Amino acid sequence: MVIKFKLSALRRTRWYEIVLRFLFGGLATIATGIIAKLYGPVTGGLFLAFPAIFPATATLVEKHVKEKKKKVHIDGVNRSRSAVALEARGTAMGSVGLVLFGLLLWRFLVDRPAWLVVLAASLAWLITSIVLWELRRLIRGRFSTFS
Amino acid sequence: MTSPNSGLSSYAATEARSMIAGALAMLVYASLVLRVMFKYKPPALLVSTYLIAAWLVTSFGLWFLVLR
Repeated sequence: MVIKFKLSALRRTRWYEIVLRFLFGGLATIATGIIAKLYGPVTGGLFLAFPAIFPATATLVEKHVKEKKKKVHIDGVNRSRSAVALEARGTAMGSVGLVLFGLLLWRFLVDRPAWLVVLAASLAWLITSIVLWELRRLIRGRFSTFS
Repeated sequence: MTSPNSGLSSYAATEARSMIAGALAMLVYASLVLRVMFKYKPPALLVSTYLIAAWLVTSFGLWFLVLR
């Protein structure tokens, strides 16, 4: 699967699904703020990477694929759950990018302009995540050629 | 010399350091969801919610070992 922007996917997304994601994300942000206030930034920082949106997203992906298969009279249970597994694979790769993001913020935020560090760290996250996905695709492609 | 924002930056940098542990826990969480979903194909909500326990154990384990 090649990484690309697919605007048509937005049309398939219902408004309440977007609201749901914002709700979970917002609640996690508020909770992180409260935890940081109560227990300090060391504990609070952990929750900046809390999987708040993933369960909602995984459920919606499962539902979408199931509905799509149902339209062509196929029981899409297995297919929908494999789609969730793929979503988790993308999340795992994004997590590696997030480690690098945090590392750059931690090392450079104190003595360099915040906007520059956040921008550089965001780019590093994006590049790392895409490179990991493409690398996996290349390695998989190479192995499947020989098998 | 410290700038007026250095306190804020230092606070954010501390949070970012902890976020690295959280992101490693996220990596463990996502990898577990991936394995369980591929192998057993259970309902997504069930797995993704229950495995948050794995995120909590990993992140607080790292907090206990490294950050505390």
